Amino acid sequence: MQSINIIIEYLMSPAFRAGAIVTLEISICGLVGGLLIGLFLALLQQSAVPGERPFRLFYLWFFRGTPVLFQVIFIFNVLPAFGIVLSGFSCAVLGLALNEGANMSEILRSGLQSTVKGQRLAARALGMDEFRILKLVVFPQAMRVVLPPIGNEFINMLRLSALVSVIAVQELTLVANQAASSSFHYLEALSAAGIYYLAITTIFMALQHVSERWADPRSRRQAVRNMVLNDVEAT
Amino acid sequence: MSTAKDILLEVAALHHAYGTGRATLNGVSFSLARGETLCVIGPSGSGKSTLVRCINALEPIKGGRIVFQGQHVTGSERQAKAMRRRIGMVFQSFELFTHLTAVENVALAPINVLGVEKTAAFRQALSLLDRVDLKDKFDRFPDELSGGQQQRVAIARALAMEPALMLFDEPTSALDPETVREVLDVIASLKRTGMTSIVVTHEMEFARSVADRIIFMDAGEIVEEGRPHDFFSAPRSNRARRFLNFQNS
Ligand SMILES: Nc1ncnc2c1ncn2[C@@H]1O[C@H](COP(=O)(O)OP(=O)(O)OP(=O)(O)O)[C@@H](O)[C@H]1O
Ligand SMILES: [Mg+2]
Repeated sequence: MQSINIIIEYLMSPAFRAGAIVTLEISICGLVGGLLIGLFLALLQQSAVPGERPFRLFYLWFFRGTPVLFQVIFIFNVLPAFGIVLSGFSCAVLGLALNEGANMSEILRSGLQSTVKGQRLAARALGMDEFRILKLVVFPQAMRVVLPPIGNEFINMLRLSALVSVIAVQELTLVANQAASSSFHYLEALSAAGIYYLAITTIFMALQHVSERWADPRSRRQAVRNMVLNDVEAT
Repeated sequence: MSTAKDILLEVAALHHAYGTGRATLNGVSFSLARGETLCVIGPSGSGKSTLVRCINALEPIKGGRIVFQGQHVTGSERQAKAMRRRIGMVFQSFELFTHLTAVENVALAPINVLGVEKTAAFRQALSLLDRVDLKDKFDRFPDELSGGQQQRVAIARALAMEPALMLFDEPTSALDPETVREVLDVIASLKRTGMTSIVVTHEMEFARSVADRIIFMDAGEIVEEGRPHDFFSAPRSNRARRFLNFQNS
């Protein structure tokens, strides 16, 4: 009974809340950064710019062939030697984003390829330019393919974010561990952190569910019906 | 027949090759009058699809010229885009946008390419779907339609750009025999409204009854050109005779 009270106390404490927010921020920034890098790599591959292939393969080889923990420590400790001093938080996000970019490029590539060549040709035959084809034909279809794996990447990212405690970023795991070692309430402090992690994961999974429904074209059928019945047929 | 002034399309000494490969089109020349329906037939690999894609500036050409409504098709990409807007194209495998309903498929290009207001574009799309007898299916997605229905939506989608010329590349080759008719009927009905069409087809009966003119291609060349009656009853070339015998057997 006393344990539960202590857990609740930890859950409500500003330190834990701040830690959870830092964890969330790292995960979201890492995911968004990874998405941008992945999109860049995937479009680079499509563009067939000369020399893109060795560059891309080197990137994938490097970031997949070394541990994320190593990458984060490397950025934190080696960049200052070149005069680039970043906060622990920035290093954490940079490391996770660079690493995530490698995964994302593969996910996005499969999404972009899911629109068969024929539909692009049909869009060109209708007089659309490349930008419109991407926006109106390729991306909406890619969205459906990439949303589920991107959701999984976020959850991965959330778990990886605990690694950045090694560079003293005050994220949830570090906060919990510090609280536990100073009070000896290991069970309670770590349970409180676990509850935060699971809460974030659960909220995120719900968001993922909603976004997948939104990306499902069939969810638009009723809107099309209303448009036709109210606006088009009425006038 | 036609006089020189209502020539809609002129193809002259057209040469094409994929990359550095061997010629796929080797000096193809013909012209098309407004309102005419031209059927292109020939064995697999003879260059029929390539010809149709060249006319729509979807393939760069190696030589010759294509003049549509008095303008060269083979100019800049900007010019090519302007040209494609006035040429409708229908593919063997439909190529509908799978994430859009039937009515959205038809309205997409008018809204985003021509800048037609959404309600107006939908109204036009519905009337085109009505024309291909699919108005009640306006809210279906492509995978909820039969092959013949999908192809009719694809025809409506091309018509929505109000093209002066329609290109059909084997529009019924991917269809079940039962649904071939409904698509061919739509193409024949376009002819009655004065549409100019080029139809690549293996449907000899359709070519015989609907075409004003037949072009028979083999190995990247036009081997024979003529009126359907003459072509089918008395083909002049050996190659055409062999091809027709093979089709009939
Ligand atoms: N994208 C391509 N790259 C290289 N060669 C191609 C390509 N498309 C077609 N070809 C070749 O060009 C030639 C003409 O092809 P095309 O598709 O125009 O023939 P077709 O008359 O339409 O045949 P089919 O009746 O089988 O559709 C063929 O030898 C074919 O193998
Ligand atoms: Mg073909």
